[in-house]
Amino acid sequence: MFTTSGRTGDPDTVRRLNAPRRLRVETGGNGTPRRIYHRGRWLIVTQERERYRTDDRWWTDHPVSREYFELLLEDGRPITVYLDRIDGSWYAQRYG
Amino acid sequence: MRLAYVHLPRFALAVEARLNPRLLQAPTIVYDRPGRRGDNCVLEASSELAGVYPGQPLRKARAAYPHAIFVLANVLLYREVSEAILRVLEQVGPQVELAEQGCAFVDIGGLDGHYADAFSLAKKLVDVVQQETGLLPSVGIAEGKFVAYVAARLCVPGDAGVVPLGRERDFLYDKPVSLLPVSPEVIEHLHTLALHTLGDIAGLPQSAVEAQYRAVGRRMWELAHGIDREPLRPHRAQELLSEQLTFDSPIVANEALVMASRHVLRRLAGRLDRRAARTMHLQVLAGDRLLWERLETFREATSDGERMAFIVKTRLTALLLTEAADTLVITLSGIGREPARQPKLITDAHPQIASLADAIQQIHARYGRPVVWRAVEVDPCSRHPEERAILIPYDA
Repeated sequence: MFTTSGRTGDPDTVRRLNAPRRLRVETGGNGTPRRIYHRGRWLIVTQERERYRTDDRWWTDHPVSREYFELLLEDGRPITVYLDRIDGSWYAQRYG
Repeated sequence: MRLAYVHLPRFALAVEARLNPRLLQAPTIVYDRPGRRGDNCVLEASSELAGVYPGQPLRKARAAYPHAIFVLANVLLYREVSEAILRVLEQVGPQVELAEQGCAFVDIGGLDGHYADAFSLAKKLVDVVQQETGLLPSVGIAEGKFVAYVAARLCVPGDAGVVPLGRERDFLYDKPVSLLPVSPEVIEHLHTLALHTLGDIAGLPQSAVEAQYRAVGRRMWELAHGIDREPLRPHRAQELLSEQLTFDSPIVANEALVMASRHVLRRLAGRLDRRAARTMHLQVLAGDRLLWERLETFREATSDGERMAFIVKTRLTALLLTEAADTLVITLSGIGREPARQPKLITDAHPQIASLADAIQQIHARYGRPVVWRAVEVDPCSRHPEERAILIPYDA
């Protein structure tokens, strides 16, 4: 499955810190990321460190349902990505 | 530890009677105004005035004994006499602890060889106090503070009681429980349980007294057995820096006191000489009478005159003087080296902050939009990281 990256926001307005950034992800058979498109090249996921799910505001018109993955890429870089289970897109997010 | 207790009962009354011997012949109440609103309270009363106790509102005592003599306490004088007693006692035994005003414990360990017996030593203690102050104390000599205290309490002024080593429990056996250093409520409760003497308490198992009164019970049981591990805490002379300002005419305006305090603090700061003080004692006097006082302890020793001035101003501004004052005294104590402190790399007052803000403004003007941002927490506990904080332009 592939998705495209999006805009990060208008620099002249108040910005959200740690805003999610859309990214392209190739998944394996069980739905876990296998490769991630990062800065113009595909990087292989070497390790899945953690996986967890958050479901929130399901009682509103804007529910949040995410599946987070904490991954280690082939160049040694750690990255946190999530699958938005509402729109089916992948996002990278700094979890600070 | 072998100790002597020098006891001066009704100390304030005794000091006042030195100036006015008539007070010894008539029922007298010494009162003070320790309350925040300047309420008058009983400090001490003659023994014949039953029902009058320290801390009692003066109007109640006056209603009960309208014909008694009422004397306004001279706290400074009592303190002075107390210190004089400490000084002369230190000439007999170097380790002296002030127990309450006018009363003190003296460590007499090792002094035996200098006197024929314990009574000679006690007589020496009585004599030095009487020569220095004109007051006649009683003295108790025993092992431990409590037994020495009880021995002195039971003697008439000028007399001494000596409890031989190992006979403490026998000595205390028939003494009333009211001598125990516990609250009046506990004493009253002991009487309701038919425990009237220290022997009654000593006869009970420790666990029973402890179960009823917890830690207080354990202490009472031990004291009833003559066991007192309370150490002597010797009074130590310390360096004091004191300055005062006397006004030409008495004042009641707080602003004038604040101005005076700045002047006094400037003089003190000069004498501190790069050292720091831990406590500051403020006193406002009318003649030789203390109108108000306050002891301020700093969180850490300081030599910062501005900080002291701020504290003094806060206290003096809130002060309600009931009569005109003519002297302000500030005394610094706990003098020592200022503690080392790690300064912040960048503080708000630092000139770097000003130049940094200036540079950011210039960059924003050059690019026509914010370039440097400030993170502000919005919902730090949110489960979604993007909702925890926002970035706003630095100069917003």
